[in-house]
Amino acid sequence: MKIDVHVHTKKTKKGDAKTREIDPIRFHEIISSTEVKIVAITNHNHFDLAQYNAFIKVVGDGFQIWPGVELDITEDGRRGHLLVIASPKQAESLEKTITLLTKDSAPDVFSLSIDNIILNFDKLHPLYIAHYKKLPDLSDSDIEKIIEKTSCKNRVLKEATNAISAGIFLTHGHSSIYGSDVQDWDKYQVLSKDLPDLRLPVESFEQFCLLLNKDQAAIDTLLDKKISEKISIKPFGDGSVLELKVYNDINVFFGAKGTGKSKILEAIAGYYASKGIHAHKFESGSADIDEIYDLNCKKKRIPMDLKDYGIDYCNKEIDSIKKAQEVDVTSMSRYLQFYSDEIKNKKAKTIKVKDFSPENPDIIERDFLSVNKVHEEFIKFRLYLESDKSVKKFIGEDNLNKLIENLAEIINNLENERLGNFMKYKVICLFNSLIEKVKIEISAKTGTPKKPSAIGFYDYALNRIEIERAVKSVLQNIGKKIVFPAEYIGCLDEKGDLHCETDILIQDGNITDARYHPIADVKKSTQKSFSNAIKAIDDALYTPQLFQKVSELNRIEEIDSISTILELLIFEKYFIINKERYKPSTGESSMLLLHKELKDDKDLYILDEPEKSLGNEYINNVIVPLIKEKAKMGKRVFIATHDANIAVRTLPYSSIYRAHKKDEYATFVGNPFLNHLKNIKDEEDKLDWKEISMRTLEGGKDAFGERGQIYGQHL
Amino acid sequence: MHLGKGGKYMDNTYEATVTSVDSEQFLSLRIGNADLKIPLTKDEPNEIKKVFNELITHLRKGLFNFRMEERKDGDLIYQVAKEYVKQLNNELRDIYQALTSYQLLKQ
Repeated sequence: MKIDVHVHTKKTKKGDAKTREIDPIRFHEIISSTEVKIVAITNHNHFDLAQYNAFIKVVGDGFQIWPGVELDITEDGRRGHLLVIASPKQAESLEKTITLLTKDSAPDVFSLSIDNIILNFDKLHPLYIAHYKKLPDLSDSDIEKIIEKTSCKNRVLKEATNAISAGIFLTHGHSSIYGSDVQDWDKYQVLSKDLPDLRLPVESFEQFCLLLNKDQAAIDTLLDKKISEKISIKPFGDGSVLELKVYNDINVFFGAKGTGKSKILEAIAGYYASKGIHAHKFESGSADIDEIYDLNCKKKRIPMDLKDYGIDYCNKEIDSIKKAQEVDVTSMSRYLQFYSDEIKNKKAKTIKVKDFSPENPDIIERDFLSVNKVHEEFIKFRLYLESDKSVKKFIGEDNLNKLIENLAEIINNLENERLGNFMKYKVICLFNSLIEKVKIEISAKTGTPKKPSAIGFYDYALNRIEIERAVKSVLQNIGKKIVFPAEYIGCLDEKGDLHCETDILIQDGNITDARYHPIADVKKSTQKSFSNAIKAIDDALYTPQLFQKVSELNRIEEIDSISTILELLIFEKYFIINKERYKPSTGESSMLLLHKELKDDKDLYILDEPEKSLGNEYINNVIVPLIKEKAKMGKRVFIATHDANIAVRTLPYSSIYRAHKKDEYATFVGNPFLNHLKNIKDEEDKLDWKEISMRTLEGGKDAFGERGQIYGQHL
Repeated sequence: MHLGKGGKYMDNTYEATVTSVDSEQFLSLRIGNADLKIPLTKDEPNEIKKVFNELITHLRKGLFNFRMEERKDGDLIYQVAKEYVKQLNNELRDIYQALTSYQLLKQ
């Protein structure tokens, strides 16, 4: 959640832009579309209670609105601005106070001294946020004076112009924050993205103030809103038990090298693995990116369905080619024998049926199957029209009835056609059977051979045609192209986006590039020989060599490993940037693998020194936001780190510090919000979280200096 | 019907004759410049298959059939050849239909 301590909702001074004005509905819509959950209304020298109440009415529980005012201060002739923000419970008192003070002067000319501010507003126990290095600003002495005079010393903050300034002021020991100071509500959504984050789910003005005071009870209450658990682990091999309270949030382990952080992470991974939760310790630099993305093509697993690429598996075709056999033709001697043995039996001569030629039922059967398929589709279509109510809704009842009527006629015709074909088919079969039976009987009774029914051309030709169809189908599919989508790996800053490209080819017998490897468990030589053998069969389809070529196909070593087109696939994987091949450096590989680890959706992330080989910019801009995103989603994140950007800027719910004390190691647990770390064996042994972090972590001082975006008070 | 160039009649019908080479007799099927010979007096399936392969190739260009020369005094071999051509014509027609339905005809 974000907080905006400085918004304007009215033009109260002549210099205020008209675009600062906003009505309650638009105010609600705009703020609701951002991550801002706390807004303080701070118009110049004016607080409009009616408008405030109107906002509250429209917004409801959507987000918090705190009443406030931006006052002009005159101190020793200097002018500056001071935000005074009160609890919503004090809205009426605030209005009364401001109305009383400003009754005789317009907002343009109104100003107060610091003494008067304290005199009139301190009773409301407000937050004081002074313009600092932001014109018109208050000087250091002015701010010191406010702190000295107010009874709420922890509630005095400095307002910087932006996140970086806020961070810099913090480094110098000042509490700082900043607000949008919105000039134009149309630009608020963009502006809000840079507002400070509140890591703890602050529910009220009072709770916010308690956090400023580092009130342990208040902080514990907020921390406990996140799911947490106590885990017992034995990380050190000596049987000693380490009990830790861990959150479904960021849990950071830090401390000098050799203090056992990695072992703790391993034990945590083991702890969750034993509970059936997938737990993997990611160790930067330990894995090879080429191996992870299978650039050496060892895993051979590419999830794909050839049909998605318009490619048929051709399993039936390949099987039929392998099993293809020659069909014999009718020998001429059968004809010669038949006509040599002239039929002498007179009765037999009168039986004319024996002289009829049989008809081929295949053609009628094909027609029958064809009309049957069309008929089936029409029936399905009619069922769809009758069962799907949306059809009637969209095309209208009249049109639907006409369509169904036409369909009925078509279906009727198709049924007649089916019946006709079926009858024809059966008649031919019976007729052929009759001829054959008569011939056999005559042959048996007269002792003469029966007349051959066919010369064998049909069966011979059909066999080759079927082989041709299968071969053509296989070759057609072998010739198809596969464009496999590139996988996004990550961004290498100025160099551009890195993708993993997978080139998938179908071995057509001509590919000799050694970089390509089979996807399936099949030899490259078998793939190549297979495709070449199919081409040879195609060339020999209507030659006497056809079945010799089929035999050659079946003699290929391990031919059984190819039963579909899938087994002919070969692939190569490589990285590209801007369409050029690219080999990431060691540092880039670490960066990309960490990014991948965090991109994967898991319940648990265990990261061991994720900063290794990475630049600060990448950690800050990519890794820290990703870790925070996981925390927001309630994921458990465990990080062992020496990097302050990670240990500090993520504002972990749990900071676990490992220290070497005398002859033993000690574990301190705490968090940035309380700003202390307690020895788990001795509650009195406390350390300052900020001080230890700055001293122990690499880049500690810088990290605190840049922490404006997270709000300097460790909220 | 008159026999035209290449042994072809006007309606895609080609000439079929019985010819003799040495002591062997053949069914001679003339298509264009090709003279396809099927041995009638001995069993030579491979020779028949060669002719069948040629016939399939020709069928892709269009349906045709053969007409056996008429002989009143036809001997045994002639009778065999005549029956053979009759059956061949039927099977040519059926295969042409199969080529059509499988879309394997040459345009």
